[in-house]
This record gives sequence, C-alpha cells and structure tokens, in this order.
Amino acid sequence: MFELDFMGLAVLDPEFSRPMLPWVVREVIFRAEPHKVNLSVDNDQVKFQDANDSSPKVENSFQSDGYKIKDVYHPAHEPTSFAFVTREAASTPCSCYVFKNESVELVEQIVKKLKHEIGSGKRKRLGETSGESEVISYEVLLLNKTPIYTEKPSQDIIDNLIEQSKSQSATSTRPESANGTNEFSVDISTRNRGLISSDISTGVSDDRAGRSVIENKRKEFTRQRSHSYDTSNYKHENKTKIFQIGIDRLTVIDTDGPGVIDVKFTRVSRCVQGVKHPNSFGFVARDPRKRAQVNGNTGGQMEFYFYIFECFDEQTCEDIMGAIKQAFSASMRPITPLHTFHRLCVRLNHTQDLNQRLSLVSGVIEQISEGEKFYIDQKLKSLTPGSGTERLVFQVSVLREIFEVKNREMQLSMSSSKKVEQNSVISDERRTNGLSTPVRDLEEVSFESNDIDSVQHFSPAKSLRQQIYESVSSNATVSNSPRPSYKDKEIKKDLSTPDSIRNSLHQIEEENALLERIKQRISELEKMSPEEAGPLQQKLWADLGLDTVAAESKVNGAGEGRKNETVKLIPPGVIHAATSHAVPEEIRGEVWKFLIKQREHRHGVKFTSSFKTLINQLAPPGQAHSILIDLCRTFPKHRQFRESLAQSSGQKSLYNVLKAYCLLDDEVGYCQGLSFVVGLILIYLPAEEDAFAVLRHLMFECNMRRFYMPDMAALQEAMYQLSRLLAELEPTLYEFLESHCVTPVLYLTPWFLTLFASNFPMSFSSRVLDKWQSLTE
Amino acid sequence: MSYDYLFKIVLVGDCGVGKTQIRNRYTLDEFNPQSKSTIGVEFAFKTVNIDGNEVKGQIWDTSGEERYRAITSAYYRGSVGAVLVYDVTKPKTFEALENWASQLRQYADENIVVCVVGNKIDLPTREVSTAEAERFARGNGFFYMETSALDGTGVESAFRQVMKKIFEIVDSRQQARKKTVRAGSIGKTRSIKLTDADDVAEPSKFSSCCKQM
Repeated sequence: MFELDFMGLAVLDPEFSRPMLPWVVREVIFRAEPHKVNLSVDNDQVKFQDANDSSPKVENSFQSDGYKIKDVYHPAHEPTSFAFVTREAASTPCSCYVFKNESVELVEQIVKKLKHEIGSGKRKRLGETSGESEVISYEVLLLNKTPIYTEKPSQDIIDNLIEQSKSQSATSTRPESANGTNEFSVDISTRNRGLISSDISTGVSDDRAGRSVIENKRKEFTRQRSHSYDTSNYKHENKTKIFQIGIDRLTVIDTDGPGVIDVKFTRVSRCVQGVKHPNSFGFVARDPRKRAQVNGNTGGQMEFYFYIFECFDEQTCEDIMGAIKQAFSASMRPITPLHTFHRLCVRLNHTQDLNQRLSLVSGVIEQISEGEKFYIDQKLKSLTPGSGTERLVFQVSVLREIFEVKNREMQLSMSSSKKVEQNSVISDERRTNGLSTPVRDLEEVSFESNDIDSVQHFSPAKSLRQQIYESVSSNATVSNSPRPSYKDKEIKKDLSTPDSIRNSLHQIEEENALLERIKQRISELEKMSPEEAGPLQQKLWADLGLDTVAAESKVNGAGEGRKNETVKLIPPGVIHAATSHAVPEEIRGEVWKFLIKQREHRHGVKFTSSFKTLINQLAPPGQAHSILIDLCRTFPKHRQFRESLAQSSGQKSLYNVLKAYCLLDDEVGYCQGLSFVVGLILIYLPAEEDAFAVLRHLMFECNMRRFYMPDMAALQEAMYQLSRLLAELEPTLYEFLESHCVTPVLYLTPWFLTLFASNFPMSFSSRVLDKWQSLTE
Repeated sequence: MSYDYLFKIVLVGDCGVGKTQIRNRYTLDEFNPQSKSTIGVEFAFKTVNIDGNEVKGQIWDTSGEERYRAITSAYYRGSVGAVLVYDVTKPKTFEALENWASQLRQYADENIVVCVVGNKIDLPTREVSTAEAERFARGNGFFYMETSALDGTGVESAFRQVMKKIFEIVDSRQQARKKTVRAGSIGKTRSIKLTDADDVAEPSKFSSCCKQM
C-alpha cells in the first residue's frame, strides 16, 4: 500500500503515442486538484482509494486487473510523478492516471512494481515501425517484360500478348506481319507523344486536378485504340520468380541469380488478370528513368513496362490479384490527424527551449482551420495570465483535444464509407492508381461454404498406441512407396574360370588390405589429440580415393574440378568404418558427394529428372506457399540464411532445393522439417545441385522419406520403437520419463524430421547425417 | 514454483499465424522476429493468480503443419483450454478454424474452454472483420479476442479469459462436491479435467492426459 497524491486523469484517444505522454502529464498536473490516495498493486490487481474519505467519490477510486494497464510512464522532467494508462478494449479510449509523491525512491519503486505486474516495456505504438517487413510471397513464371505506350492498357492485353507469342512460335519469324504491327505502333507512339507535350505545355504535371483531366483524356484515347503496345517482338521467357507483395511495393526476385525487380506502388498504374488465360496476370509500371526523359521532351514513347506472369493455376492468380488489391488499398489509407499531434510532441520533446517550443506550437496552429484557431483563442482568453510554460502546456492540451476530435471524425467517416468502397470498382481520383480487377466482396467469405465432410480426413479415434501397434505388427501400413526402379548392376562375381577366380581372389585380398590399412589408421588416430588428428583424417579419406586437395580447394565449387571417370569402388564396410571414425569439417561436403558416387557406382544412376528442369517448373501453390513461409524460419540466426530472399542467395538456394524435391517426389512433396535438413546440407554444400543430390540420396536411398509420408506412420512407429528400446536398455531413465509422462511423442518429432538440427548443435546434426548416409551402404 | 492448479492449454491454428509469437509474448513478454518453425510441439509455462489461487498455465504450442495432425491429436488429450489462432490479414487461416475446432471437439475434453484469437492486428492489410470472427466464435460458444503479438495487445487478456473460465468451472464443481462428498480430502495440487466427475486425481506434475499415451 502506497500513500500518494492523485493528480487527476486525462482521457486519451486509443491511438495515443508515448511522445504525447510528457505533455499529458504536464497538462494533468497543470490543472491538478491533488487528493491523498492509497494505491495497492498486487495479485494482478491495481487499485487506489481516497485516503481520507471512507466513502470514496467515484472519480477518486479505481480498481482494475493488471493486464488492462497498457503503459506505465515515469517522466524524466518530473521524477516525483508517474502515470499509467489503462484501456478496457482495443478501440475504446484510454485513461491516463497521474500521481505524485515527494520521494523519488518511492515513485521508482511503484513504477518498477507496476511494470513488473503488467510486463510492460516493449510495447509499440503509433509512430514506431510496426510489422512492415511482412510480405506475401508466391511462385510465378515471368513470361516477359514489354514496353508499352500507355499506363492503362485494356483488359485484353494479356490475352493478346499470349496469343501473339503463340502464333509467333508457331510460324517462327514472319517479317511481313511484324511490319504491319510496327506501323501500327508507330502511329500510336506519335499520337501519344503529342499528348505528353500537351501535358507539359499546360504546366500541370504535378497539379492533381490538371493531371486528372489528362488522365481522362488518356483513358478516352486508350479506349479508341486498344492495341497501344507493340507485340511484334514479344516472346515468352519462362523464368521462375518469387513474386512478393509488400506493404508498399511489388518485388520480383530471380531464383537463379541476384536479380530483383522492385516496383513501388506509386509506379504501378494498372494490374490485370487474363480473361482467356485466367492463370496469367500482369502489371504496368512506370519506368522512372524514362519519366525523366519525357519531362526533358526526348523520345517519350516508352514510358511504361508491362510485366506479364503465369501462375500455377487460376486460383493462385486470383489469390495474387486479391493480395495486391489488399496491400494496395492498405497503402492508400491516409495518415491519421493524430499523427500530426504525435509529430509535434516528438519535436517538442527534442528541445528544452521555451521559445522554440512555443514557435513549434504556433507553427501547427497556423495549419489548422479558422474555426479551430478561434476555439483556441477563446480557450486562451479564459486562462489567467501565467508563465510561458503554463501557456505552452495549455496550448498543447487544446491542440490534443482538437486533433483527437479530428481523428474520431475521420474514423467515423471511414467506417461508414468502407461498405461503399468495397462494392464499387475503384474510380475516384485519389485512386487513379487503382486496380482494374473486380473488387472482391468480402461478404462472400462465409462458413456455410466450408467443407463439412472435412472431419473425414482425420484418422479415426483409435488410441495412438493401438495405431502404432497395428502399424508395427502388420508391417503392411509401413508404406512401401513406389521407389524409382533401376537395374541393380552390382558386379556379380564370375567364378567360372580359374583366371576369374584368381582375379576375384586378388580383389578380395586388395579389399581386405585396404580395410586393414584403414582400421589401423583409425586406431592410430584415436590415440592422438584432436589437433594432431585433424590433418591425418583427411589423409584417411584420400586413401579411399577422395581427392581431398581438389575437395578443399573448391569449397564453394559448383562445377566438377576434374572428371572422376575412374571411381574406385570401396567396400561398404570400409566406408562405414571411416565415416564412423571421423569426417573432417573442411571436406564434409565432398565426403557426402563421394558417398553418393560410390553408391551410384555400385547400383547405377536411378534418377533421370535433372535439377535444372525441375527448378524451371512451378510447384503446386500449396506446397510453394508452405516452403516460402518456412524460409525465414529455418536457421534464422545462421549467417547463410538470415538475410531475406531479395537480399542474398541463402534462402533462395533453400527454396530451389526444396521446390525441386517437392516436384521430384509428389507423394512427399514438402513437409515441415525438411527445410532444416536442406539447410544443414547447404551449409556444407552451397551448390544447389550438389545439395539436391544429397537430399535425394538421403530420402530415397537412405529411406528417410518414409518419415515424411502424409500418414506419418513411420514416425509413429519410430516413437514406439524408441520407447521400447529405452525400456529395455535404459530402464531407469525410461521409468523416470514415464513417471513424468514424457513420451517420445513430445520430443521425437523435431529430432527425426530435422535430423536433430532444430534443437541440437550443427556439429551434432552433421554427424547424424554422415552416419545415416553411410549406414545404408 | 508452487501452484494450486495446473491447466493444460493448447495453441492451435494454421502455419505462420503467429502461435509461437503469441506464446513468447505471453510467457516471456518478447517478440522475436527470428523464430524457427515449430516442429511437433513446444512448451511454456506461466503462473497467474486467479481469486487468490496460483494457477499454472501449461501452454502446448503446436505445429500448424497439416501433415502433423496424425501426431498432434495426441497433444489435445487432457487439454482444458485452447487458443485457436488465425491471421486477420489471411482469410484462409480464418476459414481453417472450422477444421481446427472439429479437431478439438474430436480429441480434447468436451467442455474445453476455447478462445478464438485474431492475430496481427497491427498490420494495415486486415481482411477478416471483427464482426465476422465474432459471429463464428459466438456460434461455437468460444470467446473472441484480437491480438498483436508484436505490440502485445490482447495477448494477456486472451489467456487470462480462458484460465479464468476454466477456474470458474473447476471451482463451481469443487464447491458442489464439497457440499455433498467429503470436504477435506482434496489435495491442493492437481491436474484438472472438465468433464469427468472423477477429477479428484492424485497430485501429479503433468496433466492426467499424458497417462494414456
């Protein structure tokens, strides 16, 4: 219980910001009529009551759950006072309660206690950046980028361009027809140039009203001529890209290089979806460099570019159009009037000088309407002449009142106009940049349309244990998925002739000698200290035929250094012994490649679909979406993956390998957890194609893909196996875990699905990966 | 830390709606933009005081991956509260709530206390309206809250509402039993079931659900 002076309270707009608080506190203290109160803070409850009066007046008592307190403020300029702000619900006004006590220590103690109670500290408010990094990503094919002569092409531009491209590819090159279209486009461009010069001559290029007149002229103009673009040189490029919709921009990211097309919404003048080709869409963007040339009146015909994309299907295309529209209208939302007041407070807090502060305030007063100025004058007249500071505090408080009223008015008008906006195709001047797709009616999203039968998708309510038991006992549920067929070209030993017997005996002797040599080396290495053993471990692998020198020199090497036509076949036992002993960090990636090569040499190459063809295809949208949202959540702190898709290649490689795999194996596709496995591989083998080969080997040859199958039966089986093994081998640990109900279902999933990479150090996971690959040999 | 009650609460919802961020905001009061995808399930705890009782919330933060449902159903067993999260900027995650709710109905306690939570309200690109979500919540007898794990809005209240409601159910049943059955025999630390009248379970550190697995 603390005894304090309650100075009063102020009601704030829910959009208040922290820079405003010093001024709110000053205002409350300025007009304060202090009361002695007792404040108590415990059990998640904050309350205070008039100290003298046993039947407290309502305004001098307060009781609230701690979580309703949004902020606690201890002003530096007034250390003997503090304030807290409460709010009942998200959109209701806030109340700011101000208290004072002569003892700074006591005030500090209370503030600390309040902050602890509400867990305050990191709240963000208006004026600070919120989650602006949030982007929505899709996978698309960029068909082409083509110059056009209008910022508002007609709806059929996509269909025309696609059909043009088709007919061109059908009849290769047809110069005569190309001539025809050229003539046409020249005609357009000259007319267009005339329009632009009129734009300049009226001198209204920046005047909104003037611009809209020209806009209308242009619209009329484009209506007359639907083909205001040149299709003669148009052809499809077909490159997979990541299409990102951000808060104020569209970004198109190359998947095979560092290229990024970044277009702010202010440069986008139209966005259309194909009619005959509804899985295609495109947008028109103004070229900023060409714009400058137009103003300088030099050859302005190519002012705009049309980017045309193809999606996996119509639905994805509609999703993208919807997302662009959503982001577009959000970016159009005007800055709230309260923001002006917020900016004023920020500036006021930056200076201590009274005159500067007064001039800042009068600067804002200049900008408000005459009626509001009059209101301030009237209010000031009621103020008995006081110090300059008092005058300042008073002015600020009246300004807050004015801006809060404006804010409320704007919100009311916005919520009433929202309905209308949603149902009309955007047409008003403010949104000349608007999209031309029909606005999606939000009301359409209803629950009646939802799939009621979806309950059927889930497994019947059998006990988990029973399910696992069945899967283990019958063996039938462990899916034997169609493995890619291949000819086992294991060398069958021909023992028909004495020569061949001698040969094979010789071969066996050689193998045994090698095994002995390796074993001996391993036992020597095991006696050494890690520092001594390091370089010799590489030698061990060199003995097995791995070109360690070349391996180390091309740590980042994508291409093969030299052609290893003669792969020496190493017996699986030897490989296993070597892998079990050690895989040096520096050549780990090469060792993995070596393991695959050995395997392929023994059993033949099974896979025909190449990585390059896979990455040029579009993945099913659901899978692509899952991969894209996991990219930034895979080793988010590792330097290779922490930068975004647009910034560096790390996440891009992750995407490419995962997508290629998802297209290779449509039964497994993408499953959460795989991103960590691929991330782990990429850390040692940065070349995408190599990493893909290791993943493929791991999934098919080492049979890891069974864990990711949609029914997850193999994983549940493994859980059961682990708990049985524990009971048998570590009974004490097993009993302990069981007594706390810690069963494998609580911890095994991330271990197995990420090769321990999501919970354990990288060095551990990489060893698991080494062993896993060699075990199947 | 000692406590009087232990409530198991599951956090469910589609991938990427911010379940882990909500959990971190609630239990640690932090927002970590560099967080990993949740594979399987992760745990967190927070003890709060409700009407003078120390109530420990055991939060089971589950993965949203569709494929894990075969396993995640095991996580629902014995949970008395659920926070059903969707992203207010992504209508698809809202549409998926129906599925999540039916999962809960199938595997969790039938009287489970559910709070639907619309997360990411700090973003300007909101698509699902409050009215629409409230309608869904009301229709199913769930609470509804809007949150921003980024700035902390509503997170605390959402959990508190759920815990308080569970406490009320448990407390009222306890009161009823005290009148009819033996009064002093109830051990203070216990796990809680909402349906079974037989919830005078022995003291246990984990909720009774796990016993069946």
